[in-house]
Amino acid sequence: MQTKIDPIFRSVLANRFDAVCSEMGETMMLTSRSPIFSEARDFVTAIFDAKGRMIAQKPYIAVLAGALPYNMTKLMEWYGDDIMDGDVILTNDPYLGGNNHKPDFTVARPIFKGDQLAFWAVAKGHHVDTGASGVVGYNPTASSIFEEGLRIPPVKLYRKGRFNRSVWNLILKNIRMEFMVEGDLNCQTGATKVGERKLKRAMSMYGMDIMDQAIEEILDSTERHMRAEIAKIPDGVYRAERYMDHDGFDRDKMVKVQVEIRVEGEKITFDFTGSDPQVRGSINSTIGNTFSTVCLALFTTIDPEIRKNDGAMRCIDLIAPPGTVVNCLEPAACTSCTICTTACICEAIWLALSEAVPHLTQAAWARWSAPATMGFNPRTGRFFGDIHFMCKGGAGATLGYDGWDHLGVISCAGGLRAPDPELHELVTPYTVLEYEYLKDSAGPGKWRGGMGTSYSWRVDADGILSDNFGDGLRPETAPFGIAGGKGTRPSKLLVRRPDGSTEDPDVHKYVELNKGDIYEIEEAGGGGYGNPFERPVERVLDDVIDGLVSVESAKDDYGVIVDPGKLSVDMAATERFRNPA
Amino acid sequence: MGYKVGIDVGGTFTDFLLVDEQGTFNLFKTLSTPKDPSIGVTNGLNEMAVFLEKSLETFLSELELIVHGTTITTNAVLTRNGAKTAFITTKGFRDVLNMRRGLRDRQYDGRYNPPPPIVKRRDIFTVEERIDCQGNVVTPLNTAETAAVVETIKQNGYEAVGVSTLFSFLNPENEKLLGGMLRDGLPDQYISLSSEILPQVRMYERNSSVALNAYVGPILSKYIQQLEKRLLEGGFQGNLLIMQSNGGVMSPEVTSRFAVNTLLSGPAGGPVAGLFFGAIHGLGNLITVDMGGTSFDACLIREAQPSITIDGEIGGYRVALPTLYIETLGAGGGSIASVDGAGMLQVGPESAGADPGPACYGKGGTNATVTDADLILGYLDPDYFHGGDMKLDKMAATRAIEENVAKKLGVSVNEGAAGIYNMVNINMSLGVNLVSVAKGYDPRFLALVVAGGAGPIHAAMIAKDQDIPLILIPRGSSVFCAAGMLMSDLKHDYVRTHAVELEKVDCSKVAQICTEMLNEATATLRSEGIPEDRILPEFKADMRYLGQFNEVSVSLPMSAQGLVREQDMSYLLEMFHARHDALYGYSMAGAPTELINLRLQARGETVKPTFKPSQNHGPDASKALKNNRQVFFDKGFVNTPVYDGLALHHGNMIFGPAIVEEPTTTIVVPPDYNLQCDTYDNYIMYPKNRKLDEIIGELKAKM
Repeated sequence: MQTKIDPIFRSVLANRFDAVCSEMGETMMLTSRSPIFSEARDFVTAIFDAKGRMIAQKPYIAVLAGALPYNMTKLMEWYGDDIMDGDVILTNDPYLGGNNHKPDFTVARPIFKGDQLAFWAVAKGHHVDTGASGVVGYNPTASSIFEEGLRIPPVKLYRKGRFNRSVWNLILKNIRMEFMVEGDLNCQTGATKVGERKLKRAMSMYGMDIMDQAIEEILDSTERHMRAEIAKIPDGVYRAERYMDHDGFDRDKMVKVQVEIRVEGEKITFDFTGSDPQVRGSINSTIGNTFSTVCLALFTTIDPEIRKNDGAMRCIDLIAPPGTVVNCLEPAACTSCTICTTACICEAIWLALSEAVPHLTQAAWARWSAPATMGFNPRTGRFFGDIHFMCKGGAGATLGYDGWDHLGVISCAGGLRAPDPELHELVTPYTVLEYEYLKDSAGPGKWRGGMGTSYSWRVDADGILSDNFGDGLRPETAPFGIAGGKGTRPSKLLVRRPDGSTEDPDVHKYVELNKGDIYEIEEAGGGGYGNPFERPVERVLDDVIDGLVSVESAKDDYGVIVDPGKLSVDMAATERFRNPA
Repeated sequence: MGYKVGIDVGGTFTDFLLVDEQGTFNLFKTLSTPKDPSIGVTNGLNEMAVFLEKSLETFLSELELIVHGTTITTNAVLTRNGAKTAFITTKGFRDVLNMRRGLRDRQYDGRYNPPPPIVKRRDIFTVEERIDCQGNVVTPLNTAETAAVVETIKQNGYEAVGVSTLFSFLNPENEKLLGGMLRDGLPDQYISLSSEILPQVRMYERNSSVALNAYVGPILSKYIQQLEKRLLEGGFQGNLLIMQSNGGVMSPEVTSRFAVNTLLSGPAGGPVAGLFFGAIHGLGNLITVDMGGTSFDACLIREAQPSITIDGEIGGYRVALPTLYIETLGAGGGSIASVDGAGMLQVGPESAGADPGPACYGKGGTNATVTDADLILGYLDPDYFHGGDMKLDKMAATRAIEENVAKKLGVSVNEGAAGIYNMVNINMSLGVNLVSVAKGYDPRFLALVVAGGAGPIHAAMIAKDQDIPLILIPRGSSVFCAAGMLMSDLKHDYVRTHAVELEKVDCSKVAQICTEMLNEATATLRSEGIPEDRILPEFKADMRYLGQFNEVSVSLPMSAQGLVREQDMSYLLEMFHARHDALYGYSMAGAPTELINLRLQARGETVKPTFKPSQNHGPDASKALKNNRQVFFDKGFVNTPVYDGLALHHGNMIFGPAIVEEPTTTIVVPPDYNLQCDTYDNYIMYPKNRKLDEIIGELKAKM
């Protein structure tokens, strides 16, 4: 039957799919046991069709979403015709399962109409423990995937609706925080169940034939939308390169990501030829993660309303030579790729695009630079694992808008909810000493970057392991400004011991923390946009009065002369300073 | 004569519902006076006095109760016109309030600004003090530093101060000391402490609630004082009560201290009124919806209790005190229809508002809206909108839909209009789904109570989509909120964070905390004139599986002697597993659980007005038939009878398809629905293939 689908019905259906993804996400957020799901929202929910195409998604963490198609392709290949009603499939494998990296567990449930596969409901999220010798999944000494924790190729958590006890036991008995991982696997399974309920209802309301046709049209119309957006970028070849601090082994060598973006009419190609070969440490990006980051960089530049489904993604041509840091081959270590490499790839793309469409591009966000920590909390009598998500850096500015404060990291694109300091202390053996905006951390510009964060805490227990799995500690890797806006200082980390000694945590390095240690972090702000000397004087003064910008920076960076006592502007002096004869 | 009056101050009109001792009720309307809303209120009281042929003094002296809903605080926050507010918190944590947990809703969009702060950074002060996570004072309050901050606040003309320090919910010692110094040094300022307003874990949520309380406190206090003065001068000796966001009412004195509780009170009358209309038919499981010009509100009522949330939000800031859980979507008569870059039809959330409004208003609007679609489809009569006060321009509606929708989608204007109608219905249906199915309740066992001018045009479609079997439409939607206010009880919420693993719980400690809250509640309610036998406490426990970060609220049994027993705890646990499963699709029997918060909602029962039932006129509705017109149903236009709602009475039956017109609303009865007038002349609509008494019987059985 080939009838034209009512354009209104397809709009209605697209809305329904979005709503189902949101509801699955609500379930995850409310029932999770790990702060990483529930407080930091480090997860994504999605619906795929029987052909393995992404129909709709709700990305709380943007960088997880674009890799899902790679997950689903691998997973469907793996099981072939052994996909049954009532199955629930799990994988965390970057190579066999198409995952970004191992800490993300992808749970997929096939949904049947009669005996025909119709949809998949998918929930993917970052787990607190993967059984690695590292910290919350991050192992700075890992030089292959085998040291990065338990490797789970696609397996069935439920087979035809029956609980597959042996698989659960095998996984849970290989990790320390059994009860958290068990809780979060249940939470993901529950979310896909909610998705199934909803999709079955839609199928019985509309029938599969008409839904299939509508899905084709939803995807095709999204493709047309996307192509029209690409066509707005002037044809040309745009290049840029950015660096990561190092890979944790060769500590003096920065690692390069290079991109050439070719735009011809409605076609856009991202060519990463020239990026460094894959490295020993864990900053290698899997192809799924690289593709996902390309989507992220592009979707944050063009019309943000584009539906992030297969129709949009099929418009993106990616060239990532195998064996490089942007398309690593088994058994390369890759756990830090969603943070370090994603930021680096995203920055390279924005920097290249700032030449083509400066009015649409953002200045760089602060890189992630804070540790994951793990250990035993004597007060609660339990193990804990935590990522110090209070260290959110500033976002980059765009034409007409300051960057948002305390919003980072770009992998999450503002979807990362900072933990509550009180709940944090109730679970961990830490006392937070400072959690505030960091003065003068924002990149100056006509529109300034978002504020970075000053965060420090005292350790109240012994034998805690930490690893800063981010970067951005060098001038070369600090956020850049665009269109005349300035960059920022790099982030800065320091551990102070009770005996007065200090240790530089650097990046990708185990640092043991003991009672009385103080961990201090200055997380960078975002890059600025446009000439800071053109920023309205009153806005500079506002920032000085609010204690966000110092009197010195007001003068040096913005050319505004502020009387430090009266906090008023000397307009004449400012005029002379800004526009010297 | 004991009169009762419900007053609902809206943006444009202030609605009044006057009820006398016999239960006769009358509706009045005056223009709102935003600068000093008490003027509009007095104007309305004057009108009522004239209507009753009494002097204002006589009327006021015979007035025993005024229940007043106000949006004065809501507007102050939305327009950022609150008091000049200072905020004090623990040193090192200055920005927790304005970081707002570091979220941006539109993740891919770098081109918009965050909500402007309620309290700017320059107005946020920090003092040295620290309580640890076990409630120990590890750093006492630095009083010298505090004295300097108090002085600065005094010198700089702040009208209000909010205070929230780290872990003050565990040990309020430092915060209380700070509060004492503020109250001594700033006797004329509005001071609000988090340990008094919301002693509950989560710093941003607590900070935000307290900052908002301080921000609107002085405004509300001043307004209430003005109003009380006007009333008192006029001879009023009755009770004045103020509507709260939790669906209850409070005395002016308590409200002034808890001003934050009025921020979300605008739509709170609706669900309470819904309760009343449900009760007429003995129904307590309902969804109330209200579709106005710009937005659609939906609220679930279970066993005659409206749902409560602590996730309220206003102007980008959080209100963590219990409020009615009302899902608000951008779907209303003014919602704008457009076609996006992918050729998909979108309706809302943007609204054309009232000015210029929908294209058919003829005020220069060119956007196609839901009202334009309703007009094209024949649901609205161009000559009888707002009872004929306003003529609708069908040509303009046609043009708007043609240009903005039909041409872009390649469909006819009628198809485009039907698409807009369907799309907005689906959006609202999803809203209903969010408050019911998503919370674990099946809409097949709920009745839909519909209010708002545009609601009854769309109600049947929403009900059909969600399998809701029964629709109740109160007559005259304006009465709805004002009636709800008169039906409200006094309600006070209390919370104490008591974080402990359930197996280690000390029942006597729980009982002690509950008793403390109850004593506080009793004292407050008695000060509001409620005798002890009309105080109804309901205790709840917020629970979660150990390590989870969000809680599920479960009823906590407590004996009349204030005892909590071991078996109560196992009952609590059972309830928790069941609720978790219903909400989220799984539970974990045997897994360790923990208690986080203990809550009390104390209700003080008020004396409700009774409404007079009307006489049964039998099923024949032919006297009310006005005319016939072409109305769109399903696939095409059908010649459809139109009835005058004002001429319909108790007992009258109407068989779909039909249109019922009232001055402020229109009811669409689709071909597969029937409509009947109930004992209070309200409308009740249900599918033709079902029997009304069967449906009601089934809904009652499932309660």
